[in-house]
Amino acid sequence: MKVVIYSEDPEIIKVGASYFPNEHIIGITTREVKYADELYLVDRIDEEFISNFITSLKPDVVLVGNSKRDKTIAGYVAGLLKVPIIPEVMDLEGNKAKRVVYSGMGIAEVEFSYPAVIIIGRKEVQVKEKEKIEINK
Amino acid sequence: MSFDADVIIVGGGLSGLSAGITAVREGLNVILLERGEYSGAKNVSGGRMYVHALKRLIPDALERAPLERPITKETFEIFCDKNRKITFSFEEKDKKNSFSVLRSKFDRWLASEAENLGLLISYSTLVLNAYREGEGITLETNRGTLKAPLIIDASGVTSVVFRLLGLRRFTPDKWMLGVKEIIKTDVNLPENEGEVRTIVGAIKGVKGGGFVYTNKDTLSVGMAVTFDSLPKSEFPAKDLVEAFRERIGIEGEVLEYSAHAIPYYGFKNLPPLYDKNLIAVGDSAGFLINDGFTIRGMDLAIGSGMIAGLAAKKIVESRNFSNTEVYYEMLKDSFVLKHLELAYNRFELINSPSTLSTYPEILCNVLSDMFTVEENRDTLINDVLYRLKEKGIPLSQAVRDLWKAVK
Amino acid sequence: MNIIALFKIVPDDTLIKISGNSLDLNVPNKISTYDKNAIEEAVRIKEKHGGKAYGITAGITDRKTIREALAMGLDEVISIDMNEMDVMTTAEAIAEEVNQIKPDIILAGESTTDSSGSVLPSYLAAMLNYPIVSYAKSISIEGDKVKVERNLTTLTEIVEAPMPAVISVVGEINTPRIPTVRQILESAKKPVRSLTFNKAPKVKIVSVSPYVIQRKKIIIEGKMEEAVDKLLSYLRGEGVL
Repeated sequence: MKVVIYSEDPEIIKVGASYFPNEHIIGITTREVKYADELYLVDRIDEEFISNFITSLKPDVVLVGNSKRDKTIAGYVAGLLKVPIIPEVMDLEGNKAKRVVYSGMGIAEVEFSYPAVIIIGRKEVQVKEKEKIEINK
Repeated sequence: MSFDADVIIVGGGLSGLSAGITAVREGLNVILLERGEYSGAKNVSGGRMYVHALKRLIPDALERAPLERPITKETFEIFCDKNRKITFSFEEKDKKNSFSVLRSKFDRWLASEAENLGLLISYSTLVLNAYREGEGITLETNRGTLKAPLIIDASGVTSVVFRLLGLRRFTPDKWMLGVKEIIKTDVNLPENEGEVRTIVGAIKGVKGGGFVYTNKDTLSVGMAVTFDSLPKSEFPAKDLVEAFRERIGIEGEVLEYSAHAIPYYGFKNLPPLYDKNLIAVGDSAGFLINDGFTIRGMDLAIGSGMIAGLAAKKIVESRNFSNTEVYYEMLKDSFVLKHLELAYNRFELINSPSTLSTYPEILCNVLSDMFTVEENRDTLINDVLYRLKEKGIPLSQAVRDLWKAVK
Repeated sequence: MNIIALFKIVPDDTLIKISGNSLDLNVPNKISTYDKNAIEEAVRIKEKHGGKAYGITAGITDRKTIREALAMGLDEVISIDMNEMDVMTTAEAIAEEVNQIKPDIILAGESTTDSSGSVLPSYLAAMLNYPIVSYAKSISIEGDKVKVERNLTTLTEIVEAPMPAVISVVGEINTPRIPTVRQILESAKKPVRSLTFNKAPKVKIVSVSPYVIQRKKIIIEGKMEEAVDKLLSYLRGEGVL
């Protein structure tokens, strides 16, 4: 599986990597982090440009952070790829995810199939740092 | 003079919605004004509906409406002093004549039925003023001014439009206070069974009674007492239902508390039911029956609402909007006024000061005597006469009251 | 100018109650909060620049709520009944209708109160090959372009985009009007086009349960200033800040 993780918040790369410990991870963010096998750094956030770039990587999974701009990109990427998207995910396992619904009143468990775009938030995770990272700017 | 609609209905409870549904089916141009954000938002009714009128309004209602349980068991409990209590029950399984309902759910359902039939409802709309203008009545609301040649006042016991036009004067002896709690509990009954408990004398001093209705997984517990008896109550109004619930031993989480006024006129004291360009339905017309066996207003609300819808059609067709008597004529021929009249004797009896306090006490005394074995033992009739005399009730009055109760 | 306001009809989140192990969703419906702002903005743009304001709603299609949208000033509503839906199928259903209207602007609320995903507007924009401008707090039309102030929480960004464009709006953009009874009466005469869209969504809801927050009961000790720093870094680590 080709896993792409994008967020303007570098912490999200770590959280995303924790869900896919054994996969090749392509990270796209604003600062160098050691949790991706390939890392792309962006210095300006152009939502449509970044979306088109992510789409061109032909990913199986796109994990995106939950800032306002991140979410805009997540929706756009999913629309370009014409794949399902699951927002506000707090837990992810295989093809099942848990997400918050009804203004925080409820948690929905959803089932889906890949390829998919998934929006994740920050949380405390333990992830091994990768040794070899290829950095592109 | 241009009107905004043929008919404006004020109030989106059972009577207003029934009038609206009927008027729309008759092809009239109707708008209904509801003060709540949705129908049922302001409703706290005690929750037992005799469904004969509902079935006339919506024939397949029993399959679709959010009814709680059919009432298959009636229990009466009369509390006397000195730890004495009379209880009797009547059970009739498979009976589907009345159901417990939670009105906030039920009214919302009926409103959506009405809207699907094409009735226009304007929510969060409060009538602030009403006056006669030209050939109709103008209503000022928080959402603008509206005019119509015919208004149906379905606004409940406060009958807003009648009051704003100076056609209602209220006295506290014509209203009861209804207080109710919804209690979360495990109902240990099969789905097709439900019980109504009617309880008299549990709280001393007040004139009125209490009830417990079994819903799907809650109980409606409440009391209806006359306003003028409240000063003599053991408990202040705000603690009434809680004290009542404790006294009859019901425990559970209180999900909702509510209080409202209930009309209490009786057939011979009904307020004006119609005026030029204006008719009253449901609680707004004072339609409540209390005959000791049944306390009911919901079927009368639906029934009077349907008649108002039909009458509206006749009035609109006649173009004579000041002649609304046709509504009264139709009401007289219907179960609404007939049942109110039938119930009047018992209503008057229940309403007389001695009935709810003195007779239960006498009955308890007699029963206590009969179930007690001592050397001195009298005949039943002699004991009854003695116990009546003790309370200062002559036999002739007791017979008259008994006659009233069965007539 | 043709404007489309997308609005979703949702169970009123302020009335949803937790009862035991489930959420009682049998509560009155409403127009999702920020979608009301989208409708208001659509009507304002129409009032200023002329044209027609359409509404498209998908999912629950309850008449009372649709009429409220019409009473606010939309000229026509397209109501798409969907039993099951996810973002993807919703966007597909809406895109089909958009293509027939050929709008200049599509407006939507920044998020809905039921799923708070905030992703439908950009999903739809990508499908339609329109530009997306999200989180608008003001919109002005200049020739064939829209100029938008974006509220990005930490900063405000001013962008221009060619029309047609998809714009999502935040609550501060306007105060939605409360229609008069007369407008409600008029709304009854406005057209509602009802259709159904039944395509199985790829994201299926298995269950919905109440969100019970487990208290973490962390005690942070130390001098006030150190403790504040520890607290802040802890909250950052938890993603709260």
